[in-house]
Amino acid sequence: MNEALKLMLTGMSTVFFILIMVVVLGNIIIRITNHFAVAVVDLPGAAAPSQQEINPSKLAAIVSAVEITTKGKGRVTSVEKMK
Amino acid sequence: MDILSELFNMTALGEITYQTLIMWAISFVLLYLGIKKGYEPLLLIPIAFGVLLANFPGGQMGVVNPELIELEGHRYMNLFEIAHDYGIMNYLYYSLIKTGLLPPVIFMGVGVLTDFGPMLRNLKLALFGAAAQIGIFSILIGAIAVGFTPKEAASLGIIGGADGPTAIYTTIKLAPHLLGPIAIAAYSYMALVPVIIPLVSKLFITKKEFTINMKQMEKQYPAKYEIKNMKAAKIIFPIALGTLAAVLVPSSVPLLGMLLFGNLIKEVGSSTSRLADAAQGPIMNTATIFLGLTVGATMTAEVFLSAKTLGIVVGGFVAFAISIAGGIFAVKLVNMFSKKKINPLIGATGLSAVPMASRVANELALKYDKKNHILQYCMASNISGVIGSAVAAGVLISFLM
Repeated sequence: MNEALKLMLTGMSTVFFILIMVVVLGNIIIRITNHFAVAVVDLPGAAAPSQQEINPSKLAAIVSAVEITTKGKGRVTSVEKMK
Repeated sequence: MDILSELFNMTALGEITYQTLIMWAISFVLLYLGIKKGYEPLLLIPIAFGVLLANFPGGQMGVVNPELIELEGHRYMNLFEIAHDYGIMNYLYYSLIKTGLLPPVIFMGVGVLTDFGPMLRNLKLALFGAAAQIGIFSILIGAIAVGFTPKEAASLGIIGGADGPTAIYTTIKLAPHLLGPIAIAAYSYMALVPVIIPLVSKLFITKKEFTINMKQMEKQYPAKYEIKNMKAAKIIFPIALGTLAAVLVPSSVPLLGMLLFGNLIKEVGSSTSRLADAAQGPIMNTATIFLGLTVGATMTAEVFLSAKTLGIVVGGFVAFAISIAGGIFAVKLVNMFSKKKINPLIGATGLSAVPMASRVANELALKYDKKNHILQYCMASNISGVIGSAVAAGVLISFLM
């Protein structure tokens, strides 16, 4: 029974330690990527006026949706509002 | 008359016992739950049919005791000899399950289906995925107290992690003779998450706590920084975490490593999308079929109809409930010292039953406040629960093997 209690303490401590490390690691990765790799939505050939009209987060969502749906083969060249 | 007698001997009628009939009945109930009730059908149906196949007398589809394939000098029969002497189900079991191959392969597919985004956005909530592993170790102690060996108790306790492949992998390594009942219990309780989480939550969470609105808390106490490049963070995260886990808990690598590899090939995007599609589609589906059938085939009457099976069914439920309660009480503890309150339902989802636990918790929160959407916060602790249970399994395996 003592062994079981020891295993419980060791096991829970290890799980907590690893997940604390996950939190620390995640924070470090976020800080590094924020500093060195800020995301830029690149739209080659996109018309300048239409970029100004559309919200950047909506634009990012459209680009992601096209990439997922076309499995990376499709590319957004321009985004225009339908009138 | 002789012809009739020979005909009778050719059939299995003379070999059907009352134990056979009980096992058929168990198989039919499991098939009913999987087909009609939709309880984890992708695994419960193959497992139930495996039970049926294993209990057709003379069918040679039941998995035999490992002692039968052991030769002198710690050597084993080769796969051809196993197939020749004991049939194809034993060939499949000893090549795919006993070697521990299929659970990590399934974990690779799970990795493709996992999104670490919610966890990276709410990193502190990941700690509740650790608190919710308490059920594993509590039941380990309880099971030893009632007569299970430490290895059997660890395999029973891991049900509390609410992760099917992890439970199967740990049991293969520590107590393979209990594989059938433990797999059934693990997947049954995972299917019952919509019942068990509300049951335990209503016991320990007050009405006021149910209505803690996470988005309001976010507004009052905003995060120190935002994530400016989530895609890059998601690509680096599995590589870094895999390296860290490999150094600190090497025995968790078969499960965690494959999970993180699966996640990486998804996050890389279009250049590896074919690999990701294969991992989450054909590979995972094939692995699931063989895992289910062979696990079911371990449940022959002589193995399954024992007092230990009843202990596993009861112990598994208690492990599950303690894990949920552990997560809830961890949140309550944090709330005592923090101004930024957390909804205890987020602790209840520290199990690794992703994403069902999060969906159930979200629906429960919405019952108390129609505007209180907590899904993304629950997913943070839920995903960390997958990591937590894999680490717990690694600890158990390295200590007890």
